[in-house]
Amino acid sequence: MKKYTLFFFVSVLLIGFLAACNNENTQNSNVAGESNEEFEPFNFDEHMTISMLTTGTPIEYEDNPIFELIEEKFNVTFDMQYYDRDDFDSYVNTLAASNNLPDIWRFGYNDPQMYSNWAEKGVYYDVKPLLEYHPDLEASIPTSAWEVLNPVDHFYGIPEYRLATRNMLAIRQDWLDNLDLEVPDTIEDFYKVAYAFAHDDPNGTGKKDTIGFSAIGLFSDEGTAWRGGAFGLARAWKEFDGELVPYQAQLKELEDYIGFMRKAYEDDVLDKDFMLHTDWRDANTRLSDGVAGIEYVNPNSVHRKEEVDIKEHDPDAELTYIDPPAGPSGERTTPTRPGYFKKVINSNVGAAKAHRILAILEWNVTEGYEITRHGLEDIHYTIHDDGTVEELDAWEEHQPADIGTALLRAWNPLHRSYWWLGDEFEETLGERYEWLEEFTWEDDNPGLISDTDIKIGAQLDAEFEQILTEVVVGQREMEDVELAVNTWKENGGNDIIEEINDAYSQYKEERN
Amino acid sequence: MGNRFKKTAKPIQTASIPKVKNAREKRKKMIKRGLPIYLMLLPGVLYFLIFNYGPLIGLTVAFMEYDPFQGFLNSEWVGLEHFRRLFEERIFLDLLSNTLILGIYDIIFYFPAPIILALLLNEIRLRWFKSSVQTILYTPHFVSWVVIVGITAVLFSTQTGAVNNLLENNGYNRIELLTDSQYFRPLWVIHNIWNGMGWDAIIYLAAMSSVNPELYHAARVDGASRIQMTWHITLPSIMYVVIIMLILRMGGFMDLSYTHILLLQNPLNLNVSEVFDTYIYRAGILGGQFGYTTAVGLFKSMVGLILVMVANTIAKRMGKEGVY
Repeated sequence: MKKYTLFFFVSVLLIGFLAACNNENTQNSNVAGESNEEFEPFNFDEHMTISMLTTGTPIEYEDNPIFELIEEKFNVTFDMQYYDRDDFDSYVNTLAASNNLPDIWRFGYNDPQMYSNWAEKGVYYDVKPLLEYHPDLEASIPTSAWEVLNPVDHFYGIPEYRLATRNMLAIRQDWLDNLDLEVPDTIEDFYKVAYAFAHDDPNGTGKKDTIGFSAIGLFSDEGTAWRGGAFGLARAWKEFDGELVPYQAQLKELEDYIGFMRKAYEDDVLDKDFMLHTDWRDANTRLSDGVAGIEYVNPNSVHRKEEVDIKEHDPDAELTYIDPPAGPSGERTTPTRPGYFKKVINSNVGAAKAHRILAILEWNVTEGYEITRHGLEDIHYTIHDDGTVEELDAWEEHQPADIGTALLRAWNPLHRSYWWLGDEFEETLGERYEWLEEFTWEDDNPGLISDTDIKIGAQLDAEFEQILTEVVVGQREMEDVELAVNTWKENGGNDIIEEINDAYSQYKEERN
Repeated sequence: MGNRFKKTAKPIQTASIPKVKNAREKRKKMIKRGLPIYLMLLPGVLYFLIFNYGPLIGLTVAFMEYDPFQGFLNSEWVGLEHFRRLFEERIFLDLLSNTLILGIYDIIFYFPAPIILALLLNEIRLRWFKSSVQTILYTPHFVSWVVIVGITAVLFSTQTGAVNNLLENNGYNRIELLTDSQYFRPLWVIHNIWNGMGWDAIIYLAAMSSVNPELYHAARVDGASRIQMTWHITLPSIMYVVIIMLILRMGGFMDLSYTHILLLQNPLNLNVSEVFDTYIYRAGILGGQFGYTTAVGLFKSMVGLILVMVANTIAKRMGKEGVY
């Protein structure tokens, strides 16, 4: 009996193991999207299910006429999956580990190295050969965007439009007026205004219930820009005399920046909870709540969010949008995001499904372009006799514009300017985007990677920020800024710098 | 008297073939009779095989430079390299001490909490009051850590926390509950107690319901007070459950709620909040180092296994029942 039991257990384990291996083999047999599968272009007779993983708030799927329209037109069924963008890369990693990647997912929140590694391993479908069937899609996206991060002659993924410099700095104009202050221009002026916001009762409540500004930790891309960049700090890497230097090694600039933040914390100008914030919206809430006087806002939505929210606390509240402050050397920087977002297609899908996906994306920039912005007439909007357009309730419910951006993403910065918001809104939005581009905070590293950084980079950065946060809140002295830099370097940072610069030399040689 | 214990001298029937046949038939009969029971057992057995034993194959990842796209078969075999890296890790001792301290806090402060709660609930005589209190106390079990930490932030954030505003308005200093590292461990334990105490008390209440009521009657006749009855009857009667729960908890000694700690973690409490689970997240999941992460997880499980074996042995030596 014992023998039988043992045999049974071993058999089950073996079957499980072989099943797992068989799955892996299936994945590996279709590498690099080099499928020889025959397909008839634009023949959509065969029904397909397309699994799509994306970020953002889930969009209503059941009885949504926009989804229904696309599904019917292309004879597909969407299997939609959403995941929080802050943790997106680890989730995609986990899906890969369990051999469970969807047909199409978003790349961009992840490390660029992950993209290159996965491309090398043949995880992504190379869409370039199929673009001959989709000339409008190809033409709608700049060639440089198709090429970024990709090896020559391969287009792994369809580029998504992202404004590199989206968020702008807002200041409470009514508080400036109440205190008889001018819009600040330099970093010194900024501090004086922020100090007055924290101490001179700008909202007239007679209480000490306001602060100058908040922050998202010390080194978040989206939060450090107007301060760190002004002091010459790199967004990630900065080139000095042909060598790339990371912000963790910029002692002089760090001392200036940390000194500024330490003073702001000590003077109650900076949000006391800045180290708890992980997303720009955490800091932005301080503005919406009428607590902070200077914060970032999203130009797409400020008219319906912050401008409305602040009036709940003070009906006279008003925002003005300003240039980032000029640092000692005149440098002005704004939050800048990497420009390599893509939708990638699983290499396992085969040519027919990849073609179907591309056809849907092409429809989104041609025939479907206005549908995935404004929706369907008389369902999502109505046109009055005088030519004006009115938004209907179903537009919020079915979120056509979110289908157009969060899911399909047309290459257009003004995708969020709707007919009912008027021409002036579109014009203002366009101007604001152009204006912000002037302050782009470039990362001089062209996407190069370091093995040491992958292994221990996150841990080193956490310890680095720990020491400097302790300096800002007064638990350590300013001298410890140097300690933070040296600790980071000695524990592996020097290796990271060396590896990146070796790769950078090679990168430059290849291009000369 | 003597005849009763006299061995029978009657020879055993030696017809061997019919005996085997009988035994086989007997076994067949037994299997047939037990078939419904075996079928009922099958889902449970399959559950453990598929979800608990099958995934053990995945532990081989701890000995590989695992690449999801190469799979188990093609990934590079690195032997004990990941374990060597873990033990040589610069912050290994910090991780170990932080993890052990939180584990000890858990055993000292959290583990007795549901027992005490169950003993108190057991003394309530008004049934409606008892069930209401019990329901209120186990509801937090269904509240996610995100919400619990969020509520704590709303109440205690230094800048805008409601409690801190109240303290300041009344002339007291603000409490930096979330950012001062000295509060991290007590806050973590208090959260755990609030979240899990009511739920975990259920098993002890179930054990108390099986205590023979005659023992209480006898004690009352002898003039025992309620405290004496709790101490001398209730507590000893549920001690076997307490010991089993303790041994099982030792198995998860190093498994701290990763989400909970990560949500409470910030640069100012990193020196006490960085534990193996958060390290796995940072070094492993974010960096895609699955082999290394699995090795760290396996190390934690081995420590848990050793603790279970030690606790079980101690329990048996003390004359109590163990889990095996």
